[in-house]
Amino acid sequence: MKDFYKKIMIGLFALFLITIPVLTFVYMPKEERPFSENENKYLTAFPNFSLRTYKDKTFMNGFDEWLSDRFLAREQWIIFKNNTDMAIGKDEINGVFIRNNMMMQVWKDYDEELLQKNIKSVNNFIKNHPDIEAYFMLVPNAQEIYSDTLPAFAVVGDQNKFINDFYSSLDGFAGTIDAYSILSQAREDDSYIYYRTDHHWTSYGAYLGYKAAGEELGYTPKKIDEFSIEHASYDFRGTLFSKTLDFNITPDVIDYYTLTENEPKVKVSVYNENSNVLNGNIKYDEYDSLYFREFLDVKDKYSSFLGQNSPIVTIESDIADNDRSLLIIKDSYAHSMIPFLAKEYSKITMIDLRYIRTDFQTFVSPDDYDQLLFLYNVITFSEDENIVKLNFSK
Amino acid sequence: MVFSSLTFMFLFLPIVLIVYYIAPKQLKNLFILISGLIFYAWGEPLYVLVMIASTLIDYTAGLLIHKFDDKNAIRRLCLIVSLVMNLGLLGVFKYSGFVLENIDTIFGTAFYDPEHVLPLPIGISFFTFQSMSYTIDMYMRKIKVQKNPISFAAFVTLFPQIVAGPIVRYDDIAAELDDRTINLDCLYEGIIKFITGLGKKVLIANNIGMLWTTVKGFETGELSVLTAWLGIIAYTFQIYFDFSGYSDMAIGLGKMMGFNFPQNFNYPYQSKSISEFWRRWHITLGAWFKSYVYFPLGGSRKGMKRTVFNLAVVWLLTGIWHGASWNFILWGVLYGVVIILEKLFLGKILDRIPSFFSWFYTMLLVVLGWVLFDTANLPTAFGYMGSMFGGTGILFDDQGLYLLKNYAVILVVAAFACTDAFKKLIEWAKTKIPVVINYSTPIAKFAILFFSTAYLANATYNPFLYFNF
Repeated sequence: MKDFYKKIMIGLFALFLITIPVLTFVYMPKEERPFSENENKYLTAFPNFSLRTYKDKTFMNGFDEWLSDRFLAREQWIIFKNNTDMAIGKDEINGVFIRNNMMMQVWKDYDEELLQKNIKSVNNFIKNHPDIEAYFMLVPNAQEIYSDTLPAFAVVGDQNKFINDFYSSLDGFAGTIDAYSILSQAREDDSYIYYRTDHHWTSYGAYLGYKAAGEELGYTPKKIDEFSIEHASYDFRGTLFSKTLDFNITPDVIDYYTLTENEPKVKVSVYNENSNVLNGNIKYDEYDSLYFREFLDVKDKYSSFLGQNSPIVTIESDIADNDRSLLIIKDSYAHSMIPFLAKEYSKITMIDLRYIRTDFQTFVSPDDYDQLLFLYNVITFSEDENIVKLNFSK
Repeated sequence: MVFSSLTFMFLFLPIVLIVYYIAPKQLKNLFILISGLIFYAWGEPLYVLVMIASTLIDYTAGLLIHKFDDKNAIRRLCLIVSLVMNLGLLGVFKYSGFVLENIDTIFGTAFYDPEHVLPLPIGISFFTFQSMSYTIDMYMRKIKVQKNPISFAAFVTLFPQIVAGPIVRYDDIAAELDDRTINLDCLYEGIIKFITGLGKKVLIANNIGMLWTTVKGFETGELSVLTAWLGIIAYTFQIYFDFSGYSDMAIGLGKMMGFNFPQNFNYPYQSKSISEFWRRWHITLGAWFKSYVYFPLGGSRKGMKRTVFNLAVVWLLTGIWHGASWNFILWGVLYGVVIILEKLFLGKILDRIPSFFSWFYTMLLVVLGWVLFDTANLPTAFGYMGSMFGGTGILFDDQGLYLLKNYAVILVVAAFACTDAFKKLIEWAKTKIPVVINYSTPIAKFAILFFSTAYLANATYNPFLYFNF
């Protein structure tokens, strides 16, 4: 058996190259497009074969992706690879910093051209609606507030400067809201303001945003001890977890804040995807809570704050002696702040330009609202190519 | 299809190898042909026809050259048809856009239309050179004719070497095309070589390539000296491990199928002169130009002036072969100039100075050469070189330190792996403790295969570098 080691090599190679595809096919999910909870995405369907998809290679590329999505133990391979990367000193895993039991979305740079375009869109919109009392609130992300914990020498974008420069280029606004200061202050006190595994702020972070906004919007924010806090879930693993699949980071807690006394009743209307905008047949689904608890049973628990992003959501609260209304043009950071704002406004409408394919004024008239608030986080806003839709008809 | 993909590794390869091994001997070449066409069509669904046409023409040309052995006019005509056809394909697909662009610049015309540029068929520079070698050798009466069209087509479409070399000449595998044996040794060696190449490509080249991609994303004029050097050193490693990794995988796959392909790389970054570098880098390309351009022109036997001219022609062509842009032409010309200088007097000096200095001289030129090779245009290339030598006045910055910290491990591994130190160590150990080395090899190689699979399963960055070639 002089050459036995050669047989070992051949055997290992053959075993590996044969068992992996065989087991891949044996354990392959039967659905056409199964959902991967951990990666938070629908897997690609098997590509259609036709002369066209052959010629333009969509068949081949689709096949590669189809196989890759269903590859045996795909998640374990990814975890193994990410652990190797961390072991050899990589600070970023798939666009995420993992520091001190916390994941942070990496933001290094932004597209200056896109920013200028967005500034122009916002200013033009305000110019065309001179009677609107408009405010802008740009919320920094965890990377900015926790910048002291970033890896050594990491060169990242300065969000505070980005926010201030942006604010000073706005024209015709009634005010801008400084979320940076209050969040930095809370970070000093070690408060739980950003999720460890998700790119959003926590309910407490959003409470601080609500507090800061009050100074500009003109309401007196409720004190924190007026709320009862319900820890609705202790095992939330969010979007940043999906990018890294790092199980070592403590899962997050989802907190619901309700007023201990006089919590208002609400009616929430969410745009129904089966609506037909063209013939004016717009349908809404109605809910009687700000918290959509069915999402607590799935991975995407942040969506229990008023559901997933939807083109238009209206929240009506029966607050005594108050009939103020607020229109919010926003990204998903708004969702966890609405439960607080709903104590101050009897009607709030949220517009998400990313999910609207037509002029949003088909649904609402901005002039019907007392105030207008733009609410975005820095990363989403700096990458958002939908702001131009503000002036759809123009 | 590329080797470093899940579809190839865990579907195409196992199926092809199993069918290949159980197929009866007389059907093996047909199966090579079929699998090669699928392999190529996966990446080039239409241009596979170009390859088939090139195969048919060269096969026929070879047959006619053989048949009209005493009619020189016909033999020459066949050769010319084959050359015009192969070089014509290269010209149309690879160089037409570049030529038109330059005509436009000179004459102010507007022939070049970036909207309608022909995409470059993958591997066209490799398979045209391979199949041309057959007709040229037939014409020069160096080889015997291949009468079996399947066997000839199997030579052209042999999937391991289609897309990125080595440039296997017909002569290299003529005997094996008709009769080859597969035994334990060649299987073992093939697997070892394949896994080594896979690791070079997926673990080292792809990882270090991200460093170069990051640096290329910065403003060239704002790079610190540290960042600029890190970037280009990363590319120096990336191109070597990517290219030689591909060649190793091809050679390994060839061995598993009973073919012995020529070696393509021999630790080029250990060279102590540019002439030596090119004897160790992409060996099959240099050998091709030597056999079919340099020697037919007279090589070095017709006096110094003629030798210099011949070298100049070869290096101009080498530059052009690598891609249709002024960067590649300048890159080739510079190598030609240095090699001529080495032939004239520099070589003697390099032999005499301490070997560290001759190595340093060689690598400095090679690294600067890579700047030309992988930047978009000449101004960017010279701007980048400016930053390398302190043009921005910043020696190092956080950007550079951050990249250094993040890539330190992989840089050290790459630096070590591009020398033959490890190979020598193993060879030495094999004389002392053969059993330990023999049995730890499969384990080590399997570990490389395992890690490579993890990096393939989550490939965020897995480029194919030879679209220009």
